[in-house]
This record gives sequence, C-alpha cells and structure tokens, in this order.
Amino acid sequence: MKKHALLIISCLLSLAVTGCFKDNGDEPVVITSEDDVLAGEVVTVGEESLQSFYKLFVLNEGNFNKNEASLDFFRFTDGKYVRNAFSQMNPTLTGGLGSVANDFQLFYNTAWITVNQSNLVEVIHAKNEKHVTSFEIPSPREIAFDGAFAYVTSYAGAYYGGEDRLGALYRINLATEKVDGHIEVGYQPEGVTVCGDYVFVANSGGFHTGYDNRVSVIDRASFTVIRQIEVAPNLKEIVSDGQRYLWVQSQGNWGDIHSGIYQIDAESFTVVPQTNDLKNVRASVTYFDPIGNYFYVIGTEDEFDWGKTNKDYTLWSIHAGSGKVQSKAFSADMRRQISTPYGMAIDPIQGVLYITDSGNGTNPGTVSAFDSDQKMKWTRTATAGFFPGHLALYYPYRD
Amino acid sequence: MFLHRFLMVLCAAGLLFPTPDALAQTDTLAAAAITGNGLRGVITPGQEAPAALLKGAADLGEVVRMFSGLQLKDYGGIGGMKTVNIRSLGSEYTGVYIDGIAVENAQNRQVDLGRFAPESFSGAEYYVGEQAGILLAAKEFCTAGSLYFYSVPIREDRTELRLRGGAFGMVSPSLAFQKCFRKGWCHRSEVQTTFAHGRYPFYWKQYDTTMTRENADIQALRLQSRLEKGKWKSTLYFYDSERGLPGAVIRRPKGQLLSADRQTDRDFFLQSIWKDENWCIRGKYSWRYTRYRTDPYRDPSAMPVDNRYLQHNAYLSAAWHHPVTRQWALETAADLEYDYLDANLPDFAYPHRLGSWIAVGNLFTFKHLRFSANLAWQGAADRVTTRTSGFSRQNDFRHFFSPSLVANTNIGPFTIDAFVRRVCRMPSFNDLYYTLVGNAALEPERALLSNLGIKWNSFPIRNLWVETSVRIFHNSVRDKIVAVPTTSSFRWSMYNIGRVEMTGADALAHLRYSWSHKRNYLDLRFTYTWQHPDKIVPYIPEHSISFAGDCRLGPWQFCLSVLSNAERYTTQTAFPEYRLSPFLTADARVRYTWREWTGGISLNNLTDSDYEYVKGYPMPGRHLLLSLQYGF
Repeated sequence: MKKHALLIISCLLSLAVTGCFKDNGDEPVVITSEDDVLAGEVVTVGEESLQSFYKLFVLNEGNFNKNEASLDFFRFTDGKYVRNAFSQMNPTLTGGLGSVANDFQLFYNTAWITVNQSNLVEVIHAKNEKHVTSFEIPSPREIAFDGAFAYVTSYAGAYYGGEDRLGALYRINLATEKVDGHIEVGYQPEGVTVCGDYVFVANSGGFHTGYDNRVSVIDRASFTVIRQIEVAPNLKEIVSDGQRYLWVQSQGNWGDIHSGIYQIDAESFTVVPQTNDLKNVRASVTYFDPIGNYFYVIGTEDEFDWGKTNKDYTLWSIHAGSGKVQSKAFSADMRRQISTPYGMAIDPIQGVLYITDSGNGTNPGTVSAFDSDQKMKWTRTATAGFFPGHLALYYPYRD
Repeated sequence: MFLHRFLMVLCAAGLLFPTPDALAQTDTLAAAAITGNGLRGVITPGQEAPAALLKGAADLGEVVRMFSGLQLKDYGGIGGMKTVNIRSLGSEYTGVYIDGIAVENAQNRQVDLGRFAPESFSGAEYYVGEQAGILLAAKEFCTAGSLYFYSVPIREDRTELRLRGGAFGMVSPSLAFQKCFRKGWCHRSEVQTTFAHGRYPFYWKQYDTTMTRENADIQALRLQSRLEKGKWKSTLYFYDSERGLPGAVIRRPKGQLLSADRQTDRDFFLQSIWKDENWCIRGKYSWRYTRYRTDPYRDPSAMPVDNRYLQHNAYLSAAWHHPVTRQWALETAADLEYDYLDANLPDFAYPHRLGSWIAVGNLFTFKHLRFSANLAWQGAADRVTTRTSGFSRQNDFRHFFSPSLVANTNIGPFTIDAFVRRVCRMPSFNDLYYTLVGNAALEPERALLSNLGIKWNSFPIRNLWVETSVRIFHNSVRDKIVAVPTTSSFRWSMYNIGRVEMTGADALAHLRYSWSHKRNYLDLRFTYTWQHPDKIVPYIPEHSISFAGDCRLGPWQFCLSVLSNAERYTTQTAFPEYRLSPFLTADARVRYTWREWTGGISLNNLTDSDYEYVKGYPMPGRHLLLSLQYGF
C-alpha cells in the first residue's frame, strides 16, 4: 500500500506549521466570532486534539436561476458544521449571496466570492461571514491576488455582435477598492494565477465551438496580454508553485480527448512534455495545497461513460516543484460516501482529506472527511447546499 | 343502431354529461353533438370546467387550475409559460387535446396553454387515467391524463368584436366571425392580437423588497379558423409571438436587468377529424418554430446565443368502433406520427422519429356495470445524424405496452369507478439528443396508475343538483428520467434513476341551484387534492384546495374563484431555503350584458398575495383586467 505523498510530508510539516499558529507558547489561541451563535450540526466526536485551522469554508454554487448560492463552514473548535452562514449573518442583504457562486479565495482575513449569475464579486469577513463590499463584474469566474490587485476572470469581454465573444480579465485595485479596467483574454476564461511578473489565465472555451486551448499570459506592469500558450482543450484550473512551474487542468472535450493535467514552464512560456505518470491523470476536481506545494487531482477514466453512474475515481498528488505523481484509487469508505466528487480540500497538517459530493443534483451535496488511511473521519457526512464545489481552510491572521 | 342505444343507456345513468349544464341547458346537448364530445361513452369520471369560468377567463391556466388533482406550472405574467401536470406525474404525461387531436411537442413534451385563448373553446374536460370511451385515438390509450378542449359550436351566424386590456399594459383586440353556408358547411374564424409591456411589481418577501418584472413584454398574433360539415371538421391554427423572458429573480446589482433574453415562436397546424358512428379518422400536420436569443448589449453578462429550432410533425390516426353484441363493443385504433427537429446548432443530432401506436379495447356494457379492458402498444424509432457517419441507427427503437382495466358501476345514486393502467413517458428529443445533456441510451419512464372512486349524484330535486365524489389513487413511477450532473456542473446528462410512489386523493363537491326557468343560477364547486409521495416531489403541494362560485342574475354574472396550495419544495430536501410558502389567491369577475354588449371586469389576486408556482418566477399581485364585447 502506497501512502499518500502528502500525508507523509504532512507529519513532518505539522510541527513547524502549528508552531506558527500558536503565538502564545503552548496555549491555543481562543477565537471568538459573531457567528458562534449560529446553530450547526455536530459531525465529529469529542474534541479535536490538534487544531491547525479554525474553519473549513464550503461554498455551494447552487443551481442556475435559483439564487441559492450559499456559504457553509465546518468549525474545528467545536466540530460543528454550519449551513447558510452568509445569509444568516447578512439577513438584510437583498438577494442573499446570489445565484451560482463560482470561486472562493481567502485574502488575509477577507474571503472573496465570485457570484457568476449575479455579476458580483462579494467580499466578506472570513471570521464572521459579514458583508464587506461587493464589486460589479459581469459573469465573474475566478480570483487571484498579487499584493496590489485582485484579478478576476470573466466570461464577458466586449461584445461586437455575432456568436463569439472573448472573455476578460478584470483588475480590482485593492488600495482604492475600485474596478481598475479589464483586458480581453481567450474564450470563457476560468482559472487565474499569479507567478512572477505575470498573470496566467486558463481559457476553457466552454461556449465556443471546439473549445479554447490557450493559457493567456498577462504582463502585470502593463496589464496587457503578451502571449498565448496552447495547451489542451477546455482548460479550467491553473496553479503555480510560486517559483517556476504552472499546473493547468484540461477538462477534455467530453468526447474523445480525456481530461488531464499539463505543466507549463513560466520562464520559457512552454508546455513541459507530459511524463508517463502525468499522462494517466484524469482531472475533474483539483485542489492546490500551498503548504506542501502539492497539486491534488481527482478524476476518473470513465469520464466518457455517461451510462455509468458509479464511476471509479482516483486521487492523484503532483508535487508542484518536482512533478512527481502518485496515485491512489478511492477507498471503500470513499466510494461509499462519494458518488460524484465535486470539490476537495486537504489539511496537510492533520492529513485530512475533505471531499464534497454533488450527488445526483436533485438533493443538496454533502461534505465528508477522510483520515490519512482514507477512512471516514467524521461521524457522519455533513449536508451542504447544491454543488458544494469550493473549499478553503482558514486560520485568522493577526490584524 | 347500437350506438344510439348505448348513448341512451349512458344518458339515463347520468354519465354522459356529468355536469348539470346538460340538464339545465338543452343547447349544451346540441353543442355536444356538434363538437363530438357526445360520442364518447365515458366510463372514467372526468371533470368539466364550469362554462362561465371559461367564458371570461384571461387565459386557460386560470381555468385548468380549478380542476382537482391537476397542478399548474405558471411562470407568471402575461407571457409566462403555463403547463399542466396531472396527479404529480409531470407535464410529459399529460395529453392536451383540441377537438380530439393532441397538441404535440416532441422537443420537450411541454404544451404551453398560454398560446390558446379561452374564448375559442366552449368546454374543457379533464380525465385522469383514461376516459375509456369509444373512438379514441390509439395515443389516448397511452396517456396518464388528458385535458380536452372543445371549440365553440357554430350555431348561428355571428360576429364578435372583443377588446380586452388592463394590467401589464395589455391591449388585446380580437374578432371572431362565424357563418353557416348552404349544404351544412359552417365556418368560424378568430383573429386576436395581444400587446403588453408585461411589467408588474412584485414583493420579494424574504428581503422585504419591492421590485418590478422587466423584459416581460409580448406581442402575439393568433389566427384560428375552422371549417366543418356534418361529420367532418378541420382547424387551421397559426400563432406568432415575440416576447421577452424576464428571467428568474436573483441577486443582481441595482439597475441591471435580470434577463434580456428574447423568444420568438411561430406555430402552425392544420388538423382534420372525420367521425361517424363506427369510424374516426384524424390527421394533423404541425410546424413549430422557436428562436431563443440573448442580448449581450442589454445584459452584458449574457453569452451570445441565437438558437433556432424547427419541428415538423405529421400525424394520422384511424379508430374503429365495432359493436360485436349488445353488451360488447370492440375498439381498435392505430396512429402513426412522424417528428423531425431541425436546429441551427453545430453538432446537432437532427433527430427523426417515427412513432406508432396500436390499441385494442373491449368495452362491455351491462345494466349497472360497464368496464373496458384495453391493450395498447407504442413504439418510437429514432434516426439521428452524427458528425462522422451521417445517419445512425444507434439506440433507435423504444417500445412500451400499456394495458388498462377500467370499471364503473351504479348502485342507487352512487357510482363506483376504478382503473389500473400502465403508462410511460417516452424520452423527448431534448432528453435524448440535447447538446451536452442528452443521453441516447435512455429508456422510457414507466408508471403504474391505479384509482378508486365513488360518486354520489343526486337527480335534480326541483332546481337543486348536487354531486360529490371522492377518489383515491396510487401512482408508482419507475426509471424516472432525471437530469444529473456528471463530472462537471457544465455537463449534465439524463438518467433513468428516479422512483416515486405517490398516494393521494381528490374530492369534489358541486352544487347548482337554478330558478326563473333556469335563466338564473348559482353554481358552487369545491375541490380538494391530497398528494402524499414517499419522498418529496419538487413543486408538489401535499394539499390544494379550489373553490369556484358562479352566479347569474338576469344580465349580471358574478364569479369568484379561490385557489390555495400548501407549501412546496423546489428540491427533494425539506430545508427551509428550498421551501415555497403556501398561498391563497382569489379572483373575482363581474360581467354585465346589455343588448349586444357585454362588459366585464376581473379583479385578480384580490388579496394581493405574493406567491410563486416556480421558484424565482413571482406571480403578479392584485391586478385589474377589463373586457368589452360586441356581438351581432
């Protein structure tokens, strides 16, 4: 039995990292928030012995047209899973979180949420889920930050008539808190990441015949597209190891080209030839763990088999720096709990894997936790909202 | 010969015309003979819409929602789609018939009642299971529920001018012209245009905000023309509309439209029916064009879309009624249908479907007992065009047997009826071939329906007539066709995975009192429906109640209709955020006739309740509609 690479490393890392969190010697920091009063469902037994994070945020996309995007969290301090935290903490905000949330990114003690159908980027306090501000950006998709700006991909570039329309990258100035221009990138851009002097955008072309296969490279200083790197059709997430390499997810064409992960050299702007291990990777759900510098991917070889309802999923880990790939098929517990993996997060310190299941789409999704042996960790799966696609682990920064 | 005797038996049993209209107004009998409803030997009790409700209603949705056991799905406002759903089975199971011929939509099997006008029809009936009558099309043996509309009979030369308008900035002039020529040829034509801005305010209760429905305008033209002679009747229908789709109510920055989408519809059909005592031939050709487009200029976040669909449908049916003995009649029917869907989309399947139905029924009539035992078969053979090989025969044939047993007996003033029937929902073109959604491996969704009912029917005691009935039912649905997201929320697919067991009951109480030689009357109708599924079925209320009161006093006519639904959920999970509140809505209508003039005022949603049939599609609050009619 091959152990998960991260889980081995996680043990080594855990001491160092928790050290950072515990500023007052051995005494754990007591965190209080206005959202402590919200009722939640207890999903763990007893006290967690070691808490590396304060909350696990779960962003539910919600169904199209239903205005049911919602934000849940699991609180490590009391083992409770709290549903609809955003709407409970902001009851007077007309329309709640909105319709179809698409990305959740933490930025210090704020959380940024793109609400696609609502044409908004919602900014909240990560500590208590209270509304801070919102930005009007049409059809926003994903967010990345550098020190001065937030970059948001959008499906809605300028429209000149006709059927095709390029997407855009919007820029929000963090100092002035204003939308500060946008530029056109490829068709239906999704993932965005910052690496060195450049912003990289993965274009999907989901509404474009034949899909898009390009990663747009934007020079941060001039805010212009300087290059397009052709990778593979239907790109989605893109992450950076912070040094030199980018990892980008292709969703395939749902027909004869499988999904997969590709490596890009951010210095030469070229696609690194796939290793044999990397060629086997199928990617429907991804998560980047910056602590261990691992890119985690869940996928299935059965992705073209529309008739099969219980597909065989595999979890891969890719070391973002070295490109080392390891894989592990879903354990019996995971197969039992998860029918359609939809989002994930990994706590590298405790070695816990959180996976969400979108189920059959007629009922709300669920969140499950698995320990390093891929056994069920919680006493039960927590019921989330529809399409719980975006997870993030949060520990408060000291202001 | 047999037929007349048969009709007499049924008339005597008070079955043929289950409502007092026939007893009260002799002209309804004449109407029935002309429209053809009189030819059906009804075994399963149906429900008939109160005639007065149909007369002044703004749309057909307003009429059919008063039937017990029938749910309306209404997207609100003047251009909002209205579909029906019988005993929670979904609109795909419900046949909508105009003068005996089904309105088809092979693309998604949804029939929008908003495209027809109440004034075209003199009667509406609704049957669950089957009516087990005679001379049915084979298709009718295979539906779970049927809604029949009968066009206005042509009894005299007459011209009607009507102007309707009011709320939603609606102006709708119409002209109806009917004339009988020599040798029994009769003709009726209607022209109606509708213009409305469609805007209406609504209250978003959850956030205590009042907003306005925008981009809800509609322009529509309807032409309907009928020519008939004796046993033969042909209808030509054309509908052309251009409307805004206001979109679901969601959070958006202030000043942004919720949707700027537009839809253009052009429907055309020509149908003919020829019916004598033993034969019925039906034929139809229809053509349906739909264009859906977004407007990225007005809604900057909209993806540019301009989809056009064109559906062709040709239908032919023959039914034979053969009285073998005095007690036993053999019913046979065969239908053939061809569908083709064309679109301007890349990688489209361009599906063709040849559908066939064959039904054999046995109708037994004894003194106090009538029953029918039927077997129907339907098959659908599809051909699709694929990118690589052109015409493909993959997964091309689906078929299904629908047996049914229907019985009905009289014990004193009581009528007991029961039926069991197996039906299916053939996958629609959208289920099978819709880009990124369709799953060509789908099987038909199956349902087993059973029903037991008792009716008490008082013979008219002087001028009072009372009818009450209670029916219990059980529907068991297997292999339900459900849209399921696959590895990505972008890519949904259809699967046969759902299963629902539904138990329910509906009850009806109907009272009519008439005086002054039946010129004046008071008609009260109360229905209650209880539906209890084994798990939550989206949008189905456990309880629903309707009341319709209708009173005529000389030139005055007063109508009041009240409808109430219990809470519903938009999903299978009973969390508060997926709950739609219970509601009660009441509509009042007054009509006054003076010589050739009739004026009407409708005040709808009297209590100004905020309610939704479909999440995100609020229904209009209190609103006024006026009508003026001149007939000569």
